[in-house]
Amino acid sequence: MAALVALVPADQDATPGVTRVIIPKSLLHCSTAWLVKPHPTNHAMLRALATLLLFQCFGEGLSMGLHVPVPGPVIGLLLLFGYLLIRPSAVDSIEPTALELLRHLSLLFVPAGVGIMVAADRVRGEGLAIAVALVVSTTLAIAVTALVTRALMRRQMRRARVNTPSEL
Amino acid sequence: MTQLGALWVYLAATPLLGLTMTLFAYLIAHGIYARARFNPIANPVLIAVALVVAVLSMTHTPYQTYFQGAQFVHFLLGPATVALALPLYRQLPKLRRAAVPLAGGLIAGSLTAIISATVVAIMFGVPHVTVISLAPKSATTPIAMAIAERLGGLPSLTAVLVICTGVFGAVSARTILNVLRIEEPEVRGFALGVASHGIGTARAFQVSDEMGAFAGLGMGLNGLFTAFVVPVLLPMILRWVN
Repeated sequence: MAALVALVPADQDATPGVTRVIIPKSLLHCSTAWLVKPHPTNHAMLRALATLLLFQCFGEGLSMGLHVPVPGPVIGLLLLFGYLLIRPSAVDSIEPTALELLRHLSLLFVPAGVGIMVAADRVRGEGLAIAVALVVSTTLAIAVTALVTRALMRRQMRRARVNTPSEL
Repeated sequence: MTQLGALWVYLAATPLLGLTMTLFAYLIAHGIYARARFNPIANPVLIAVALVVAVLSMTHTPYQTYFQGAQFVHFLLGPATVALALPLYRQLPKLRRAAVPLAGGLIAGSLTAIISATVVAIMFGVPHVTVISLAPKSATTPIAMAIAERLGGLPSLTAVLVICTGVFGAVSARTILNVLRIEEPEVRGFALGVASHGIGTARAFQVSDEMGAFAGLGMGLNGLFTAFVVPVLLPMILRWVN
């Protein structure tokens, strides 16, 4: 025989045929309050995470569908960037979760990085070549970026000076 | 001892252990990094990777078994890449003010990074898979790994190379920029961000907030630029070599 069990507040009358389980009113109150009014920040985080995943889906979809060799998440980044330009009000709702995720970005590289124990076998004997390529290329990249940016900034400043007539 | 071994084998087969190990290794590594006063040489990712590799090889646990658990952390790289849109959006006013110089510096620096790395590697005669893994090394790690994976490189090799690039850039940038007599903090920061992504950006923030902001801008722009240029440029370079 199946028993009907009802959770009722202590001051309520029993319905005939239903086993009463009496619980303190205070407990009932706080449990229903929790059900009706979920913590607001939980939702904000979930919504932000859902937005990020949605834009990743769009990005992956475009990347696969249009056969673009650009990775899906990068296209998702651009789409989200474009969306924020159109709707700047969305920034405040996504930003806390996005920044929280980015604060732990370094951690996310560890699983792939450990893959070096498998990849190392395939690049054995190439260590010197890789090290030289890395050092030369990074040094040149810092130098070229700095020199070109500075030269263009100085040119822009000179032009600005020519275009704005002197006050005197 | 054999019981302990059996327990390890049991736990290692569940995703739980890989996940736990990843988090603890990172927390320990970050503690060491903080102890070293955030010196870029004590990079927490490199230390955490070394710790996990040491445990896995001592216990003869294959990488695939470890990755079954660690993949839950790895998966978050996708949404984290999308999330980079927010800091980039915040940098927009800075970008607008100096759009032409920054765009020029970005294109010149990014192309230099990609072409010089691939050409040097090819001159040493390394196989194409290594060249592909090396090409996006100045981009931020999640983007660089995605590019390497997409073009047939080894994403795990790319992850380590990207981090080494960041560490080298962060350690050597001061000397390089001083030799060239670059004094403007925004130019110094931008160059650091373009050439050595997040690790360079973290280094720039240690010097000043202004330098850090421009480094962050350089990192974001170069990540995007590399993602669009390497898939086009790299096949051209490899075809030209053959």
